[in-house]
Amino acid sequence: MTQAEIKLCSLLLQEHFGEIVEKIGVHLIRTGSQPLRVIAHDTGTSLDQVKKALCVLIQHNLVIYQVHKRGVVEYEAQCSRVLRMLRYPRYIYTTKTLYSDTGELIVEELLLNGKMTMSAVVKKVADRLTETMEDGKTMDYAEVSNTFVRLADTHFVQRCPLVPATENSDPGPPPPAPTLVINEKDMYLVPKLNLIGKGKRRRSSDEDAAGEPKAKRPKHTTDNKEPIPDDGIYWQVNLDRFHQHFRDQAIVSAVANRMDQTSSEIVRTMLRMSEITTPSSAPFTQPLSSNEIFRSLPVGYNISKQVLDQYLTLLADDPLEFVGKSGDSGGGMYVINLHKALTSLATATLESVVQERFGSRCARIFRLVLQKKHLEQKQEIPKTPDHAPSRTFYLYTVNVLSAARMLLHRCYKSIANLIERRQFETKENKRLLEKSQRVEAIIASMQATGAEEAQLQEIEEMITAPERQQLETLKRNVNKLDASEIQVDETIFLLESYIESTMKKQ
Amino acid sequence: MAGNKGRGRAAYTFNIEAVGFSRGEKLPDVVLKPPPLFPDTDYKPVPLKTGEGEDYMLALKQELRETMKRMPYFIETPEEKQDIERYSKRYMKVYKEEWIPDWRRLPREMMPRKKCKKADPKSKKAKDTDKGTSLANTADVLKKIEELEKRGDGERSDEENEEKEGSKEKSKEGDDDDEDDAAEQEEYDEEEQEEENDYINSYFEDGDDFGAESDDNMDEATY
Repeated sequence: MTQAEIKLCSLLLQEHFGEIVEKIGVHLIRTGSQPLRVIAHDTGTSLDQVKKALCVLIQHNLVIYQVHKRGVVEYEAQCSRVLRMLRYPRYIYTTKTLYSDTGELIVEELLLNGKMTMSAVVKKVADRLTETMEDGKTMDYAEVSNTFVRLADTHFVQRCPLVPATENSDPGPPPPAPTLVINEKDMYLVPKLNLIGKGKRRRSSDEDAAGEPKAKRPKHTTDNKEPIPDDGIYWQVNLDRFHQHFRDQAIVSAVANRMDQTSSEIVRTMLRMSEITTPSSAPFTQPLSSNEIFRSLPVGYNISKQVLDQYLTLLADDPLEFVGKSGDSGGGMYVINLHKALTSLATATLESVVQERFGSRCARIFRLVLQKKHLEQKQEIPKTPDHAPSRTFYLYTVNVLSAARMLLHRCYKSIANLIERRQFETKENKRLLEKSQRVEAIIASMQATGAEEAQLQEIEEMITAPERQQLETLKRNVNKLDASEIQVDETIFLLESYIESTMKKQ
Repeated sequence: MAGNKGRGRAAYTFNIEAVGFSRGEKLPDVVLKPPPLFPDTDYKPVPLKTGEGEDYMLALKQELRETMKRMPYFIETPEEKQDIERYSKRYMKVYKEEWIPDWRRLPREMMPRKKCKKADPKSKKAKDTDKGTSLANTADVLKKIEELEKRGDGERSDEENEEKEGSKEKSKEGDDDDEDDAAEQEEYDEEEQEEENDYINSYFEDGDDFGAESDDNMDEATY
């Protein structure tokens, strides 16, 4: 892992899980696979703390364990999975667009908790949705369950590997760690649960104004007593499926930009048909016949078969080569060239970066070199085959893979800088932020107990105008930095997808 | 074979003008200091994308950040001991739901040892708040004496016996992880002992005498 990636992982772990988890996580990323006691010794942390940190990291699929010879268990961190934490808002928002609020909350809960049983998710989401509903209305468990099943059917959530059921007659001591297994066909199998119930609102007496001391709430005693029907069956978000969706989105919008809406709809249809049949890392989709595509077009899109064929021909002839023709049966067999599409997208990103950073002239040169593959400064062709220095011409070329890697590395650095700057800004204004929070809390509690307008005014004036200005500026800056993080992550996604596709091809 | 373009004259195989200076010209000045930390860029960055989706994701991101800090997975660093225990601190503690992992899915070494069955955050809280109180819990004491006899750890039992004499409720940390956190444990024991010292707290409360004594001993003149 490069230094930039390690630094970014460190910042992400610290922000989400605290310094102790960060210390253990970063140590594992740096050193690779290590057993428990070595981690404790090398990091100078107590064994107890290391255990807790590892439990959290394993729960969130950031660390895996393996039993080695002589029964030693070693723990290994997944650096790339840590970096995915940047993309959580995008996963959640995408689910919202596809499966509305219910789906959004399901994915959010799964991401926040790493893994959960279906019954736990359904209950939690029903409670949360009920909170937002009008008084007297509640969210039924059945509705949440249905959405969950839909998410499983479309592979957006998947089962975690299971602890194998051991027979009672198993001789010998239990293994030091369970070996988790999952069957391909079981991965999206939803257990038959009979979840009946409705979401519960928090009782109003529990709702305290923020900032006031909260009375210790009793632990959930009732729920623990009932047996959980799907005990041991945990679910997690299937990040690869989301990545496939993002990739499809990028391809469709690229086609829409380059050609027109109808072409992009055709491409979208083709991608949808290939969703489950083609593995996400394949260089191109399974061939689809023109007849099949015609039948699968969305209802309401009434273009004739001939028009469809014309569009398909146009797409296949386009120099970008997103769509390729692979045969003539069935009215013409067409594929989507996924690898070529990703290459085009990555290249477009590079071109755009060159343009914005170095100007249009440089961008023009860059595009020319890309197009012609090898260019000499004055476009002369070498005359002699030997390597004599006086008659050797040096050619310029763009190595897209290298350039993509370099840009990706820069993206990691950028996000690390953005996070650090945001933390710095927040720390600088810590005192003011705390004051503003306290004032808000006071106002909220006063409003709840019914205060006059004049009193509220007085409290609000505790924050002076210049301070208000400062807070506004801070908010604007933090928003900008946060938004930048999200958008740099989009570039990271494109570049990583391209690099991964290229490496798989070789 | 390598054509001599002229004896003694160097021939460049590429267009020298491209590098930035022509032959015979003075070379550019040597750079003596590192480049500036934030150089001026010729081209300003493109503005960020805006839109409904972007706004929603921004709000989500900030909310998630706050939510994660309140989850049980966020492990707080243990605070350094403060000089004075602030009264308000006790009431501002945010109550975090406990999280107990599914031990069946984890290696056996992850489980805390049998003695500390309750999750550690609880016993740590007990440590903080119960430092000053003394609860005589005879059943507990008896149990601990039994365990100590079993283990027969001479040095440790001395320390723990002293604490029992003070009859304070020892938090379970005392027995836990004895082999593992030996170093940490000994430090903790020392701290406990400092507070359980033999000095009576009311020793210096007698204001009159104390004042008189200090006056006698003062060499400096009072102003």
